[in-house]
Amino acid sequence: MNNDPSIEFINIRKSYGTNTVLDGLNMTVSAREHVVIIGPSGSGKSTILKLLMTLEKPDSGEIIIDGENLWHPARGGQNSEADPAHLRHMRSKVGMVFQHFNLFPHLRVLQNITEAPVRVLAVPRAEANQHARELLDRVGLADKYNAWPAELSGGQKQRVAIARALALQPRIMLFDEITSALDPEIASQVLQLVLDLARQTDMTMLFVTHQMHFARQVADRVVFFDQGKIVEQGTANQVLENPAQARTREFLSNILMAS
Amino acid sequence: MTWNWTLVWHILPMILRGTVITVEATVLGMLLALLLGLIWAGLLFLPNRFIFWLVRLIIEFIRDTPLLIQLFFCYYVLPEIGVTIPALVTGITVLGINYSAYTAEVYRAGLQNIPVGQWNAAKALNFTPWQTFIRIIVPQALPPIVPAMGNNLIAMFKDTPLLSTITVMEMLNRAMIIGDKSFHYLEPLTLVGVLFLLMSLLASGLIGITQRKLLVRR
Repeated sequence: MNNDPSIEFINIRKSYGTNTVLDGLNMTVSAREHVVIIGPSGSGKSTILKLLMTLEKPDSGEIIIDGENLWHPARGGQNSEADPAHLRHMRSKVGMVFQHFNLFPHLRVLQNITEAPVRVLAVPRAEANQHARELLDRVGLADKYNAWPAELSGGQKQRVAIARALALQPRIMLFDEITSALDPEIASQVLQLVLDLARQTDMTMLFVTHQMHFARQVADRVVFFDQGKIVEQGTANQVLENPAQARTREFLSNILMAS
Repeated sequence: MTWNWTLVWHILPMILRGTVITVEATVLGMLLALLLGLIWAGLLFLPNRFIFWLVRLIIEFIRDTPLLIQLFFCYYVLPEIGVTIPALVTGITVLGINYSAYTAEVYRAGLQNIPVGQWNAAKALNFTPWQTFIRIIVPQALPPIVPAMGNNLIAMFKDTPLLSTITVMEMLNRAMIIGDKSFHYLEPLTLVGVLFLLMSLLASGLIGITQRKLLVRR
């Protein structure tokens, strides 16, 4: 892994009403790095992913992806407001897998995967179909290409959602609590798939998860986040086994009790 | 007052020619209402506050003034400012615009029922707002609103006799002309009523079938 910065958050603030979820976040993610963000519910961890995907806009601060400013691109020597074309260019670098899968219920599995490559990247339908079949094979659902999403189990839906995100070949992948809506056994199968993916590809990956075992396996770095701020970060070993901060120890022991 | 079958068979062809015009006004008016209503509903989903309030104002205005006055205004007042439109075209346009205010509400309810996750997924997959709306959101929003849209269609159908007031020769107008000439109102008015009833029942049946087809597809 080299240290090219892939993503930079510079002094990001974000509030919903009076609730401050990000209170001056500064964080850099290197290219090809796998960062796991942990922390209590409502601590703003998912917001970090939503900001990268432009599902939310920061109140202030800058987000830089691959050297380009997400919301204030440089134009003629100064920073301007992002126009739709710039946002689409930036979004093409990023893919996201959601907690509740968000498959399109009116499209069959194959078309869930091909719709974006065909419409967004103008990939020929036959080529998109071929690629989608390969992706389905990779996530272990080769025989489900013709199914409706409603006919799939939760774990299968999430596999399709992963294939759908991969179909656009993003450089950065965001995983937002992707197993929180799944049974433990199914969850571990999906996590194993993602772990394989992390090891076989060179995508930059950000994970928000409560699965500490998975975090240990996948993370180059673990970030513990609480009340809008980074409390502590380091390797999985440092943060999960030997946390320096009392707040981290408290959180980890609560997690342990729950599981 | 006795029922005269001879008269019925005599006037039936004339009434049926009016049926054609009634159906024409309903179908074209509804197409306009469906299209315009979707545009209103789509505009209400844009983040622009000015557009939002402008569209809301237009919809409220349409809903809070009587259809009959809208018809009279377009047919009798517009010519005074040099805009003369044939009666049937005026009738279809006013019906369509009037009902677009109601179809817009139905669309809006359908669109609001789409989970925010669908919008987020579409954005994450980099669809344009237009692609998102047409390819992801609308196809999911339509099947559940078919019954409500169908009710609007039938309501509009039953409002078409109002077009007789601006000289459109639809069913009721023809029935009244027959009545005025022959002094027999029973047969022509009954005939028109029965035709409305039969076609409304037929439309209800078709709407039910359409909805079942759409729901089975998943």
